[in-house]
Amino acid sequence: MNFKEIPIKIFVNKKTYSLSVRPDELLVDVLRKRLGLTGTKVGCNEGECGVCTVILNDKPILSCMYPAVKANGAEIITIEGLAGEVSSNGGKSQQALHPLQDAFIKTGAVQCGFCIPGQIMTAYSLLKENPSPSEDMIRDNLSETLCRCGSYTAIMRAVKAASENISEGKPIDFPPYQESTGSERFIGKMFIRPDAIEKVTGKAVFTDDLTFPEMLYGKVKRVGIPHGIVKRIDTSRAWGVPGVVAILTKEDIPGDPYHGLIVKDWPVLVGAEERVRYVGDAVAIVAAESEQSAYEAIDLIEVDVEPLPVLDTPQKALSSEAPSLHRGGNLLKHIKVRKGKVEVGFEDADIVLEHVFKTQTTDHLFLEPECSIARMLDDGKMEIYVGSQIPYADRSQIAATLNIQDDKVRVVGQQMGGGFGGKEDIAGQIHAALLAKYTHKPVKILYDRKESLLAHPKRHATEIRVRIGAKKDGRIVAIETELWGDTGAYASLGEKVMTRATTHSSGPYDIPHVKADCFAVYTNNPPAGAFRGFGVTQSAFAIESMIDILAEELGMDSIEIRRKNALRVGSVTCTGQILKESVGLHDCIDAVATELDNIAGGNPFASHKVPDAPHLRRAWGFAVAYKNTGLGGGAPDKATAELEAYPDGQFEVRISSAELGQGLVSVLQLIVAEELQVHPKFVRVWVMDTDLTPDGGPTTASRQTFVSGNAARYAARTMRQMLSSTLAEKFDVHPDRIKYIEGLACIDDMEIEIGKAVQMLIEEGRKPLVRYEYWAPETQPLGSGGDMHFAYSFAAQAAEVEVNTITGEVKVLQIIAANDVGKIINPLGLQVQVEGGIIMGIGNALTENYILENGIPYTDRMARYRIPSIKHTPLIKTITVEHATSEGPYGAKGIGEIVSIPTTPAITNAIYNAVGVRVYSLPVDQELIAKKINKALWNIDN
Amino acid sequence: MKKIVDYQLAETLEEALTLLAKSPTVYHVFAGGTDLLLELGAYVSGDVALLDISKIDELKKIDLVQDHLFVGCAATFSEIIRNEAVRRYAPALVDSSSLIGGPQLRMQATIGGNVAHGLPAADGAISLLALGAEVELVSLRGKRRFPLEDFFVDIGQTKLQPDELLYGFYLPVADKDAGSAHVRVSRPQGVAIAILNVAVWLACKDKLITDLRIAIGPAGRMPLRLRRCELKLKNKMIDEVISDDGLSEIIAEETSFRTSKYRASKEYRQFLSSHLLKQAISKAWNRAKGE
Repeated sequence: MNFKEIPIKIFVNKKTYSLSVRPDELLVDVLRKRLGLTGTKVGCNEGECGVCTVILNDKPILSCMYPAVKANGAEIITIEGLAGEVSSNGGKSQQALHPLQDAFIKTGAVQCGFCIPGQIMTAYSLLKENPSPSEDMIRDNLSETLCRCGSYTAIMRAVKAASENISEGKPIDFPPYQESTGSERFIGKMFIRPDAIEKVTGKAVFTDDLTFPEMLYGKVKRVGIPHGIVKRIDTSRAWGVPGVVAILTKEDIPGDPYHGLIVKDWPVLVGAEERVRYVGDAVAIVAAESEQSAYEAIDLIEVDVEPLPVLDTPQKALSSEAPSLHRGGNLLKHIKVRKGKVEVGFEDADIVLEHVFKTQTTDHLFLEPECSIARMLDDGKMEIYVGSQIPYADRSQIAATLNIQDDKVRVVGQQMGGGFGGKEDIAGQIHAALLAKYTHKPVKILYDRKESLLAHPKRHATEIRVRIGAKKDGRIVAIETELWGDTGAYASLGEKVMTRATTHSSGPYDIPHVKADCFAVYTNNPPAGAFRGFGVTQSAFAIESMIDILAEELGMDSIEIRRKNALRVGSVTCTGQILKESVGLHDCIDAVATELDNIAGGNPFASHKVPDAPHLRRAWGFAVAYKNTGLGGGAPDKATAELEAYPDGQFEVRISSAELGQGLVSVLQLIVAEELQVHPKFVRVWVMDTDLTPDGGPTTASRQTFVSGNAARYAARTMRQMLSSTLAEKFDVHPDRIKYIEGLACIDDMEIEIGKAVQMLIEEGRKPLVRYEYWAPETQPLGSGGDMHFAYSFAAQAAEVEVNTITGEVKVLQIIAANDVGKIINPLGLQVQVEGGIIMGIGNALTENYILENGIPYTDRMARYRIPSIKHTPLIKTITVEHATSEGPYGAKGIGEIVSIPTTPAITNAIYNAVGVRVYSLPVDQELIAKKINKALWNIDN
Repeated sequence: MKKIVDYQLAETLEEALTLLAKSPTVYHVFAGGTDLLLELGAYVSGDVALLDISKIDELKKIDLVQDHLFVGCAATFSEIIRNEAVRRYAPALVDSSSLIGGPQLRMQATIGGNVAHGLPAADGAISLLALGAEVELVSLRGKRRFPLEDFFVDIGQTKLQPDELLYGFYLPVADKDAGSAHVRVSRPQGVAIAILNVAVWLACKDKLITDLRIAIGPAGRMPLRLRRCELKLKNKMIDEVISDDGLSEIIAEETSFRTSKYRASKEYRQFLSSHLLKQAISKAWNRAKGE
């Protein structure tokens, strides 16, 4: 049947458009694809995430759920229509931001930026209707517009600030976030993100916003069976679909048929007579002239698979009758940690306790689904446009499969709508490259939400047994842990993740005797890999629950028992590392304890009734954590930065490290600004391009502030020395007499604009360009007893929950968080990273659960995977502790992960304190809580 | 993959009914489309033709008509929530409408769609039942109007014929000493469908409940009125009802709770039912008393 095209007329951002639309076209398609208004984003296509919100006839609507036909005659405002154009001097047009846009920037609400157009448009409609909304109204109105960076607290501040600006004329200023105590000029002070303005105006380019002439659309045929042997792949019917240009299978791969970050065990395409290891395994790829044709062709590819028993748990996969999923068997790795003699410790203990804890599989649910565009240039070079956490690893994996040199591939990183570890592995990059190579046309592969949920690696589901021995006075003398990690079908970063889970499984405590064994096991579930927290999220839940159980048995306070055992300078970690500096854990504990005392007064861990609501109970819970900065374990950890200076006084720092929302671009900008004493606005930051920016290494392990930050710092320092040597020669002074202040080079009373100094350097015939390769301090492999990591960050959190004793429902009311980050570099970004990390921790505890049934995801759409909304956002109080680490830039260490780790156990400990129900398995099950509270009414025994 | 091959945006009721009755094409009728477009998203295949009734003015009406409040099937939840007459005479419908989706979704989703799906947990249907709604269906053959309770046939099945449209709902406008409320419990994980919905309408005099209607779901194969429970609680003192420990057993007599995977066990639903009922009664009572 042919489509009946329907003429419509719409008024978008005050312009009139007359066009003919197909009956299946949605408003968002018209805006993005026909009108080029790509500021409006698509996150789910299910009406779940709200990022596609636009204003239609004065109302906020979901443009991904709104048929274009229906929009006929409507007046529409998108993010592009919000900022007014005002002309400024020289005829150059400048944008006047809407107060909401200004406020979103200044509060730091803009992180990855993908949801921001939706947030701003939703808030815009609210303020139009009510210029002075209450906090509750803001929460209600924004409840459907999700932000995976978890910027909700900042969004609330932003909407309030914009409201006060609109209704009372109050200026929009930076909020009073904690700045660094240091005396630096730019470091540790409040500056807006360099990419913030483009993100609030809809101009920021994410991969799917790009199109190229003659671009084709790629789709992947996935098997949909968790385990089996492919018997036949028949593409003949698919070729019959009009518009199909290429269909490729394994035989068409010119080079390495496998990819993988550490172990190359993940087939690019599974061929006939080969093993299918999870439902997302790809067998064929299609390029077609339209997305519709590509989808149709995929449906017509026939694949016969001889099914095999599904190994859906680590235990099943290690049973004697289980077939081997990989050549080396199903045990990816047995990871061991040994310190002291654990038997001796348990003999010495006055009390020994043991429990088993389980954590669920979770998904990153970055709101921007994976998208790759491959384009082959005339000289044979393959360009890949993608939002990736490791551009150089993408490059080498793509090159290997195409069987070309690495430098024949250029990865051009785009803005990323979140990553959180989920954009480290290859998604569509290689498939798009193969299709572009065969068709000689640009090919875009955009995952829909279903495919995203199916294909990329998840957070490991774990089972963690903890045995703990302590003296009566609370000193812990022995901890034994046994961890089982479901690493799914392919290795990904599974071994590293589970190693981190294991080495952190006895918590941030100085324990004389530790024994930890971890089994990372291949199964037929989707692969598990990196996810913010990197295994420590799981083991922190186990050990921090156990510490509270122990405290109760001993009649001790949750805080006291932690103080008694917490790591300090001079302590020895479970891997045998002597901590020489930068251990701010005690200060974090003290900071939270003090704040807790201020807020909650005496006895915060006791259960409190709520006046006029006899069915509600409230209590606080406490937890601590630590997390390594950097790769560690003996892996070489380095980054290279390039810095170029220009005669107009501008600088450009280049490094391929990934900006996925976390604020690295600000960190790099501030560091270069500080070293050269020029205002940050004169420092441009260029990231994620393998031809134009040198390798910054993977954006993982909370390492970029430290490693890429240092590379930028030393590059800038070298640039300063170069400028000084030029000036020293020219003015015949010792280089030490040249000082840099506010964009000027000063020699005694003489002031030279820094751009002039650059000009002099050029006139000497030198190039004002520095390339600096920074190597982080060497680390030692696990088992060697040396420094396994060059730095650790520490944190303590307290959470207040309210539990409904009838329904079992849990609400998080308040969180107090203290983090030792070494040094505050970028306070605006740090504040929202802390607050967002807490939101992600709340999701991990309460809302998120990726469910598999015999290897097949039940969680196959966003509606089945809930992440926290602004409605889940508690009152958050943060404190930052600065225990500098000497090698870090200005003393800084990683913050991306530590901020999220203690939240879950703080919440589950609070639940126990409120209603006496211990959570052993995540996520928190309200029905189980209701059941345990009301045992008698339920006629159950335990 | 979506394969919407035909899209009719009807401007009049006549036009829509004629298409339904006379066109050889089988049309899926929708207004908000928030459920339908999802179903037609990446998850089903095949060609479909759509009939959009959201622009038909008379289906969007919310009006006081003599002793009834009329709510057109294409009224969006957002319009319902903001309507003064609904807020005054049918607060339970405001409660339930506020629980559906988020603010943007409620700008599109309609009460008619919620009820027409015939699902036993539908928030809108539960509150309408408690409010004593009658439903009106319309086709070229004419209109028919009957109690909403009789509209539901089985899970996902209603009395709606292929040539018929759901026209709207008539809610009796209560005396001044009456109030209504809708409460629910859901889970923070997974699909945002209620574990249990309970809606109550009641009339009172002094401390006495003189009349009441109770609706609950999911508690069977369709949205359910608890007739026997209503009889037992009628003409009781409010304090007596609120402190009644035997409500759970009374509810159990005419409900059959099911266990739904990943959402709730039947025991949990059973356990919640009396608590939610009391909560709804208290809320409705306070509204009746103007508190």
